[in-house]
Amino acid sequence: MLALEGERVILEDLAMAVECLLFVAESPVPLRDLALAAEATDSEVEQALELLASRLKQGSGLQLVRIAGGYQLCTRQEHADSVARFLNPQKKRLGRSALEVLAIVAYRQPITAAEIQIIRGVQSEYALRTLIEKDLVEDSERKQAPGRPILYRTTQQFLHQFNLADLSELPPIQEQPMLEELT
Amino acid sequence: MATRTMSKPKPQPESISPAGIAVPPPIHIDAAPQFCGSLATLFHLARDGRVDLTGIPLTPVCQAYIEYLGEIRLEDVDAAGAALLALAYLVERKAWALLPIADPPPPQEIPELPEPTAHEFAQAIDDLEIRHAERNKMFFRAGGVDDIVEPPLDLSNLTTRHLAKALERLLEKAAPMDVKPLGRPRPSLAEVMSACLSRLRSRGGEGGFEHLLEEGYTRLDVVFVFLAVLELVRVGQIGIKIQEEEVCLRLKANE
Repeated sequence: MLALEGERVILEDLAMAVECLLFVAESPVPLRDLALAAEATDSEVEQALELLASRLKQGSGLQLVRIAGGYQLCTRQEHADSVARFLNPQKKRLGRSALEVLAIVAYRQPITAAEIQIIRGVQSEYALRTLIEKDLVEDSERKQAPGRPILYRTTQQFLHQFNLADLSELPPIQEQPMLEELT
Repeated sequence: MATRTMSKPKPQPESISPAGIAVPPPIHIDAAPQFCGSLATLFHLARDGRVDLTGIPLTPVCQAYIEYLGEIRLEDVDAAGAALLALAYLVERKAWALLPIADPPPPQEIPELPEPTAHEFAQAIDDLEIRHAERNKMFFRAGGVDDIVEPPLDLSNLTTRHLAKALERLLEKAAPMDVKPLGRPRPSLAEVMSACLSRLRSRGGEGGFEHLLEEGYTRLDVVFVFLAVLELVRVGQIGIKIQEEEVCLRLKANE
């Protein structure tokens, strides 16, 4: 009984330490980094994160989210209006064409600009450049093909901006033939 | 077998046409049943593609020419030359016609352009839009796109033309830049910004460009102050307005 009580105290202490780490972090913190900083194992930190999440859920304006390959604290959506009035953020919406290119890159990455054009049927350089400027898409490597075209992929910022923990959380789409078959 | 005979009577020695072109002499060729007529006729028909040379033996044509040469005994070299030219043309055309025709290359299969398939992403795009909207309701400590967006500047009716004019006026008034010894410490932009702020404060928080400059300022000083003011406006420390064509600066705290 005493041992269990001791474990609970340790876990609560770890949860508080993790909360501190997440409070000072300016970007999503991977589980491994939390474990290293808190000098605990991954599983212990996972338990602490669960405890922290439930505690925040019970009575806090903040919430714990798993996003862009890590964990981060953010405000609750219920209080978004208040925070928005205070911060007065300038909303920057993505156009439909940019979203289309972004979706194609997200689901078919790594992908070349020419392949995006084949899928869309129209030129996509401008939309691609816009996405690169917004740090939602980046060039990763070059395809081993004639001309060695640049391959594009989505960034961590994309995951962050679309509230995704990782690419596996992308909503499923209808299967379509591979690009090699199209070309 | 085809026989050949020379034309009778003897061919005319005049073989130059009024246009100055050598005309083949009237050498008669009898290569019946394929052809029977003069060398000139055969030449014209072959040239116009109206006769198939592969069906006409050229041996009787050549023999007729040789007999013709024997008859004229080189009296009319021009006519002989014209006949030789026509004969050479026929031989060459026939030689080309006898060459086997290469099979035409198989038509290249042009791959059909694939149909655009972007519509398959329509649902995904909608989902991403919803996610993006939800995400915009979540505020993080830092690191989001929203956080790096600069707030819009309130520049009222101020345009770049006003700024350029103000700079031009100052530069006109400024003394030519005096040459300073190398290694002269130059003020950093932060220092100039700080000096501009303190000068504005000393003037009650308001002033024009000129009030930010010390007496006897140089063009370099003008450029420094101008850049510092732009940066102060950008970071929101001072406001900038245009009043009666003059740029007016004001400390933000005083607004």
